[in-house]
Amino acid sequence: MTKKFAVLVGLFLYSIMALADQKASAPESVMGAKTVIAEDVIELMMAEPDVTIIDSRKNSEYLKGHIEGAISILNTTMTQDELEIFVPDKNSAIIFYCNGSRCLRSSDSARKALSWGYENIYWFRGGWKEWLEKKFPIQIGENN
Amino acid sequence: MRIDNLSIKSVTVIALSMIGVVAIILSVLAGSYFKQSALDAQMKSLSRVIEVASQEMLKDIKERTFQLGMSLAHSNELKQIVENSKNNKGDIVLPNFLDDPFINGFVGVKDLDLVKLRVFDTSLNFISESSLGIKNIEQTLPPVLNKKASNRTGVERLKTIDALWISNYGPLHSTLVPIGGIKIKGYLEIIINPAFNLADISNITQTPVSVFSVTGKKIKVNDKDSISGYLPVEYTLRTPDGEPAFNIVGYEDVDHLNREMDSTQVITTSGFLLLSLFSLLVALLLFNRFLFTPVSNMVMDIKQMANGKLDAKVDIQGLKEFRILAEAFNIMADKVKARTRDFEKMSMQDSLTGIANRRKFFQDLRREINRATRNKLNLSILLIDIDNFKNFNDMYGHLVGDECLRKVALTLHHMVKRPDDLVARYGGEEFAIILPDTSDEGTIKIAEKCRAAIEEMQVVHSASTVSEVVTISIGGINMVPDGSLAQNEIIQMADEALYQAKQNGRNCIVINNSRG
Repeated sequence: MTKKFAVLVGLFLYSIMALADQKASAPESVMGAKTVIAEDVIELMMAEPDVTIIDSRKNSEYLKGHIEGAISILNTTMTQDELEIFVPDKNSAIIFYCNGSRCLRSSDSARKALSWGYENIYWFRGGWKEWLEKKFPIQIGENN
Repeated sequence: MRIDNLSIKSVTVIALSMIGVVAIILSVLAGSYFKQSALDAQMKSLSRVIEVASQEMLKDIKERTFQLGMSLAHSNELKQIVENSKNNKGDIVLPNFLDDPFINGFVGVKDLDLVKLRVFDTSLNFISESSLGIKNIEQTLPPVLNKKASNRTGVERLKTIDALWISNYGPLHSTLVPIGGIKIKGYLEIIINPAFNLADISNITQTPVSVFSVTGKKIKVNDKDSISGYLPVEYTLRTPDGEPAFNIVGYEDVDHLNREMDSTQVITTSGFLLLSLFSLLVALLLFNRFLFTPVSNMVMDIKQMANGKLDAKVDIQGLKEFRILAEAFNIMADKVKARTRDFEKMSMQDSLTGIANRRKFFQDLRREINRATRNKLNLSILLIDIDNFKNFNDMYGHLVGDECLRKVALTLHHMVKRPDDLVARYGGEEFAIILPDTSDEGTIKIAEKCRAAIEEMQVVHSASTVSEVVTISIGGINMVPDGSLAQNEIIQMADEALYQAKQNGRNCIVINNSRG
């Protein structure tokens, strides 16, 4: 009896530890959005000057440095009305990014935008981490 | 000295002592070897630490210059000035803009030693530079950076690149950032002096550090350089082209290491010494109890036996093999003792008749003469001769003669009863009897009893001149010896009595009395 109890307690502790060990990770893709890398983001910025880049991180992180021209809208506070102010045309290209593959904010924002009828959504999964690693130009503070 | 001459105890003690000494020598040698290995490992480890620390420093420089570059290159003002400068070369607006960080400072000014800011167009041609900072450096991109930058195409051209390079001022670090971000207008080169940061490398390595530039310039010289007990470990920081830029020398406190190693060695060697002595002591105690003492006792017992003490026994003790050996030896000793007694008995016995022989007779005679002399007691000796025995042999043959001798011997043997009396075959058909502490009358009585007993055997002797049967003549002497007569003389006297008996017609007795 004691032995069985000990085994059960062991299994319980092991499962708690296993769960605790699992860190949050962004999905591989967002249905309806095109997943892009840093180079694609620059190509898009050059090809479509009207592309909107949305930084889904906290504003404090945004101010420390962000992709040139990006707008700071935290995923949790982003509303359809707010987005429509920046992007009235539902066919316009929007790129969402946050801190990288461990961050769930930008995928959440992209899903929201898709649900509100935006059709040209790009998701930069590598996000800020990939951008910095590749040493592409960044903007510190507010946009000029 | 030959080993064969040594005792098992000496050999064991020497062997164990040698093992102990060898163990101690090995521990000392191993200690020195480990000391050297530990020192080598420590040096390698410090070299690696310096390498990692240097790379960390470089990484830190890169991050800071990247931040500085981004904050400068994204300024709309700079974009505009660069645009204008392309058309108005020699304009002082751009140099003034580039001088601003030198005058007003910048974010992270305390962490970087900014030495120059330069601007290049998108084709990497020099446009302008800060008038402040170092002078007279060639107005082109450093070759290593130029090589990296000119090979890039497309969006790659937007990436910030950097490199360590060797200028005529010594090693410098350049970072090339695009001006204007995505809409690139040119490039800003931020040149800093990395020696400023490398001087603090000892904060990471936690050891004294000296830094020298490749030109030999002393950037930071530690006072430990002149102190003995510190061993220098050198690491060369190179440019991407493999050109040496800085020599970084860390100083390992070998005195500390040596002290630790010495103390470890003393503990190890003392441990070995104590262990060896303890093992030696235990081994000696065990060997002494189960090997040396049993062997020594066995050797002593064997020596006693060899010296004739046949009753000696070897103690059964010690290790299994020694107990087996002792048991086997005792069995062998018992057999030797029995065999010796047999031999002794055989050497004193007449082989034909089974009674005592002439040797035994003389041995007992000597003893009894001495005893009688000492105690002033009577002693009688009888010499007996079978009458006409030569004729008997001639008539009946030697086999019957031998049988006759056996019968006479057996009969005489039965005539004397006392333990100290002795009947012996004196030679041929002659017998002798020793009768200690026997009076004259007693001697005559026994002699007569013997003579009569032989006659009563009724062994036919047709060739006898005395009787029809075998008879004997007895000559004897009864005396209290005083040491004046030798043994031979006493025998001679008995022999004379026998002669007299034969003269008297045989089958009779003649006992003489004497003192001497």
